[in-house]
Amino acid sequence: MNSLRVLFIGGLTSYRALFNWISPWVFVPQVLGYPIFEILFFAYLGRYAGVQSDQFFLIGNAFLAIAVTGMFGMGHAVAGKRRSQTLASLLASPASRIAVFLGRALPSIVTGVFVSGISFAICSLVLGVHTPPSALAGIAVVALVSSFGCTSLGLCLGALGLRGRNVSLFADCIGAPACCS
Amino acid sequence: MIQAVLTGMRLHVKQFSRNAFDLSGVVLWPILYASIAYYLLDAKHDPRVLLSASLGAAVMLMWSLVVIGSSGALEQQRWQGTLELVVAAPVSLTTVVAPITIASGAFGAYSLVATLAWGRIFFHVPLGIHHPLAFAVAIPLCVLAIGMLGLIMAATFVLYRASFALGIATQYPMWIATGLLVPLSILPAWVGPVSWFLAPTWGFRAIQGSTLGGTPWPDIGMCLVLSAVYFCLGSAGLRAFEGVARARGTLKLT
Repeated sequence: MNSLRVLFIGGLTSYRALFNWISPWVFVPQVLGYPIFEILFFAYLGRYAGVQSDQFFLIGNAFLAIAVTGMFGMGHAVAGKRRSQTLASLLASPASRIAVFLGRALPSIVTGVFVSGISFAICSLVLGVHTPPSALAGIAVVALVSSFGCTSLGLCLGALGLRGRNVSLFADCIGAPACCS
Repeated sequence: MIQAVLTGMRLHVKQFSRNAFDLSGVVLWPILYASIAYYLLDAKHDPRVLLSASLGAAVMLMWSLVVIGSSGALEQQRWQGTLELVVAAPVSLTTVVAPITIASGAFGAYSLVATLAWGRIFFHVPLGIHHPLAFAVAIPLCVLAIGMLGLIMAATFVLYRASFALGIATQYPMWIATGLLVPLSILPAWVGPVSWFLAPTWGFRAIQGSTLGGTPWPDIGMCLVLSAVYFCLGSAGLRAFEGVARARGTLKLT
């Protein structure tokens, strides 16, 4: 029971702290603004270059949003403890470490899918891209699996952050090739 | 005041050059964005388009470095508890913040060298500067204008606790609205008038005109005019937001 409390309540508290939430509106420019404009930028660049369709850039960058949320969000959830000087207390506490870190991972997985879905929907409207309803269920499943995978990678980056100081650097080095691919 | 500005720039360069994340951003991202642009725009089979893409990618990074550098520096000061001391210092907050944005923009000049060299070596993009004098004048004025636009953004960063994230979120909108890689002609018509008020538009046009041929001097003049306007707006904004932040007691984080 205690592990479940650490998992859910601890995870939610940590997630709110990750964004330094004073009010929820901070969430919008921070998490949604970036991927939406990223999709639009590459879609318009693709149009100008005459390479691929809007749908290609829409789907690709929507999944890139998952990667950014998972890797940077999860990585910083661990690294943020070091910055706020609570890591030592957390590791010294008797709470299950699996519950502690899984609690940090669950919000990141949900956020990745949420951000990707909202960005996909808004940019579909702006760009006039029509996706068949029959494809949406498949995209949602793939988004969930990708979010789980990227958050797990973010947890690995966070683990590296226990040794090195700069998690953003590790995420940058992995994120850059992801951006190209 | 001049001494405070020069010391501020020197300190920011020192701090910036000791941050592995910032350095990786400076080294990695210009090359990355230039490569993406080369691969996508190579389909047009026009070397001038590729050279223009190099310049566009460089100005993109100038903006990124200014906005990330200034937002990161202010957030760092807030975390370290030194923002209150900076605000309480006898010199104006503008004198403290402006060197940060200008020094960050100056780092962007490196991205210009990096993208041009990368394009020349790996993508055989022809390098030829049509108006060398205009080119030499356009770069520092572009840096100055973008740095001053960063000063306006920095005013909001004083107010906003998660300033680093806000800084990052402004990258793509600025890249789109100023037509650095994507011509404004293929964007919705209302984006055009918006771009007139943004320094990267004129800085890019000045560098592009002096490199590819054209009339860069009016664009260089616009960089100067906008720098002066931004400085006035940024200083007023900093004073106003500093007052609000003091009244709300949000300068201190912990």
